Formats: sequence, C-alpha cells, structure tokens
Amino acid sequence: MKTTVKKVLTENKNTPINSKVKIDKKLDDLKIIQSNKQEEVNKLTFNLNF
Amino acid sequence: MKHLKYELYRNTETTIFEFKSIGPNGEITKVIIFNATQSKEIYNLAFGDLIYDEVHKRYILDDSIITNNGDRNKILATVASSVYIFTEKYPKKMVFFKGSTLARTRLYRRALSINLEELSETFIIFGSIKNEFGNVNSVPFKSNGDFFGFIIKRKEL
Repeated sequence: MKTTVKKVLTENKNTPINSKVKIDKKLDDLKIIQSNKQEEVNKLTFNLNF
Repeated sequence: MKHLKYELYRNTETTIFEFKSIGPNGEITKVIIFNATQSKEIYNLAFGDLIYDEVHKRYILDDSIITNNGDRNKILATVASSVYIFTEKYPKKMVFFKGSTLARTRLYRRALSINLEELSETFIIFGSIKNEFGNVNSVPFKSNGDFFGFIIKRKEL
C-alpha cells in the first residue's frame, strides 16, 4: 500500500502542467476582437536590460 | 500562487485560456490571450470578459469590465496559473502584462509583491517603463515602483 501511494505521488509531480489542463477545441476556432488598448500593446517594441 | 483557482481550459496552442467566474453576478466567462508582440520573445497577456457582440456576430475580449463577483483573488490566481502553463510550453517566451487602468496595474503590482517569494521560485519578475521613443524598457521590480507594466521570465532549470 505504501509503495502504491508513493508511486502515484511521483507520477503527479512529474506530470507536465499542460497535460493536466483540458483542451477545448472550440477555442482553436475562436476569433476574438480585442480592445484598442490591447492592440496598441501588441505593437510595442521592448528593450530588455538583462 | 497557493490560492483557490478556477478550472482552466486551453486551446491546442496553449495561447488562449478560458474559465468561468462564479459569484453573486452569475457565471461570467473570462478569457486570457497570449498575443505575440513586435519583440518575438515577448508575449502580451490580455485578460477580460468574453462578450458576444450580437450586432456584429463576433466575440470581444472586454478588459474594462468590473464583474464584482467577489472572487478577485481567485481570478488573479487563475490568471497566474495560465502564465505557468504558457511558459511551461514556451519556456523561452516572456510574458508582458499591464492593467487596463492605472489602478489595475497597481493591483497587479501588489499581487506580485505579496506572492514574490513563491513566484521567484519559477520566474524572474521585472517592471517596465516607457521610454521617450514610446518603447518599453525592462527595469528591476520593486514593491513600491511606478510601472507601465510587468515582464515575467521563466528561470532556466
């Protein structure tokens, strides 16, 4: 019983987060209009100082 | 962030997420989108209510709505978890985000400050300011800083 519990815990820890999050195929085809503010941010250029 | 979270759903590319905020104002569909920017290594996180525009027959992300479902911390934790998921799939990409208002940007700064220790296990957090050319410069994050937005970079293992 102890061995079984340990094995399950290890599997959960090593399971990538992405595989735990369900895919909704409807989101693949969803076209979403964003606000002008967000569109402006998408056009920004970033200077990274690190 | 070790808080309650809503269940997230994602698209195949892991660039769009959806969840439902539940509270006194009902069930509100929220959407998170990671958009490419002019800087190819940085993605902008847009977040808001998913609204269906009956007139134009299209979906809109409205980032200015105040839902008032009394679940602000749960929503913030859910949005934070989407950043973990997105950067797990794209570890070389960085995430930029800012509030739709100055007050919201300050709220995000407070949330980052409160959870800085936990977030710093996985990410490096930067503030950002606009320069005289309208471009965004990264700067060190400070709890009391006045920032245009924030940049999150996943630490390399």
